[in-house]
Amino acid sequence: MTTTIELKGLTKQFGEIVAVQDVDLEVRKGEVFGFLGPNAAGKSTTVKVATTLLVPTRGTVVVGSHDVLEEPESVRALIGLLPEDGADTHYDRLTTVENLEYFGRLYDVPKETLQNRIDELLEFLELSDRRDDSPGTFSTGLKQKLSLARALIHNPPIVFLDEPTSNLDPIMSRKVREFIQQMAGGSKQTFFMCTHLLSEAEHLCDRVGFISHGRLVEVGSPADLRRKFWTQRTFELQLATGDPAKAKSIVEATSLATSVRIENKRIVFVVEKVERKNPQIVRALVEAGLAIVELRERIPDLEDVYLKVIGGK
Amino acid sequence: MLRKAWIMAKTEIRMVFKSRQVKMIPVMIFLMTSVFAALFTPLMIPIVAEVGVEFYSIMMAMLMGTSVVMMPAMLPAMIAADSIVGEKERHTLVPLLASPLTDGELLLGKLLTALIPGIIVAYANLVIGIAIVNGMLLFIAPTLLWIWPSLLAMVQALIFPPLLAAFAVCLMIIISGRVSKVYEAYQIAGFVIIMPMFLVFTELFLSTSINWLLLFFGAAILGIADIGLFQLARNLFNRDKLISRV
Ligand SMILES: Nc1ncnc2c1ncn2[C@@H]1O[C@H](COP(=O)(O)OP(=O)(O)OP(=O)(O)O)[C@@H](O)[C@H]1O
Ligand SMILES: [Mg+2]
Repeated sequence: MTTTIELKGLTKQFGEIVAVQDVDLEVRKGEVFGFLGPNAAGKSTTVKVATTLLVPTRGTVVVGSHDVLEEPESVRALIGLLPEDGADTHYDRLTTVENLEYFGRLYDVPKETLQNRIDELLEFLELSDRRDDSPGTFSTGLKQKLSLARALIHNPPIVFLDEPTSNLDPIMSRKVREFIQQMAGGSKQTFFMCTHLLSEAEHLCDRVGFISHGRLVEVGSPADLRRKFWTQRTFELQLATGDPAKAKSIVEATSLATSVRIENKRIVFVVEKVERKNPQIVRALVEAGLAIVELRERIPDLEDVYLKVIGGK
Repeated sequence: MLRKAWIMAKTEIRMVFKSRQVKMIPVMIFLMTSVFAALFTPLMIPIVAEVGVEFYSIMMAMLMGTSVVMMPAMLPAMIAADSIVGEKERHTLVPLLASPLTDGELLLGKLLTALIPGIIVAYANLVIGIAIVNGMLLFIAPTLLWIWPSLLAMVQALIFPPLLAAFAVCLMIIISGRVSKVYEAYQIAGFVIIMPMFLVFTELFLSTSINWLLLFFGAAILGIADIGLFQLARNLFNRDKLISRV
């Protein structure tokens, strides 16, 4: 797979503040890459450097085989950007369509293509009926949608989205996610997105990177990261009747579980070598006369990974 | 470079003139010229007998010159003052900076945005001035008709407003990129830049000693200064500073 965005030893300082420190990262063509991390971690700063808005203090950034310092214009021609606080970035003295036309022309979109593209995007984002209104009259979510349309107006091969679904309602967020997935899959567009929504990253991103205090701390697919951080598996068991405390002591007595606890009347236990141990635990409970209604695995999600990676720091 | 700059300028000029304050500036300029013309044309006539036609012509050139050569630089300076810091204040600068425009295209776009309306207003203003002065002369002193503008004054009023405006605009674009609030740029435009510039220029080119040679050198120097200042603006233009400075 070819690399589309490559950061090598990227450092960005604002005076004394080190916003991004020694970040090495490769994003592949056609990938949806999620950039996660706490506030002030350096996500937006990284995006600004990659989109030629800020100059790296040290290190190199190559986007679509162009160095951001040497050929910034070539980089800018290849990318679409939905900036941080993107909702607020429109010309209120132009209508919605005029805003998009303006940027379409700046990006050299041919006239006929541009009109179709605008219609298509406005239709998809459910903005068609507001096409002749000024974005100044929009709710924040509508403005955010227009920012997204502007970022995609020229069908750029590489798209940077800084918190794209902030301010969008759940249905529109899902629609946008599906759209991104479709674009990345079909036409091999690459997406680099910052987000605080871990479920969004989990469902949408091929790979995610965690950044904390300017340093990249983990990179991998959500599944890989889960595997990396969870060698043990957690199960929860619910009884039809009977005392959870009794069940807990039975599980403990088997000495098979690494840990056992009770949460909301459910017995929660952690085991390794599940195939061998789980049947024995269940047998012990049944033989003690307990009726089991439900036994299911607690699958850690990206939020758990996040808490482990970021929280542990 | 010109094509992209023109796309920018077309859109921006449309936006600029949606502001009522900006629309007021040409009106004020036209009003000023009309008042000057209506006041000085008859006021100067009684002294013709004493000082001669020649002097009347020079006096009219000086008085009207202020309003047809100097005043039109106001509008471009004001538009340019807003050009960068205004976009920053309204949060529209980032998407523009992230678009494929080169520094030169972006600055030329800003320059044209300020300059084109300025030139149109300057020439309209000149037509208004000529019409009022000569309209009045036709009735009160037909022998003095077309005494203003002389050919020299006419050429001066045609070539200096664009050159002067370009200077003010380049200077204001540089300043607009270095202040953090629009009102600061306006203050600088009003008091620090335009006033001294007007005074110096008035001394030099509207004085009684103006002649073709001086006019030619003045225009050449101003033209070179414009180009130099534009290059300076281009060299000083720095996306990183614009984005990271608060
Ligand atoms: N223009 C600037 N001047 C000084 N410091 C800055 C500037 N921009 C960002 N910073 C600092 O750089 C650090 C990283 O900021 P950045 O905006 O990249 O964070 P982020 O990960 O996007 O956070 P958030 O999730 O809150 O958007 C922060 O400490 C921030 O205060
Ligand atoms: Mg951010």
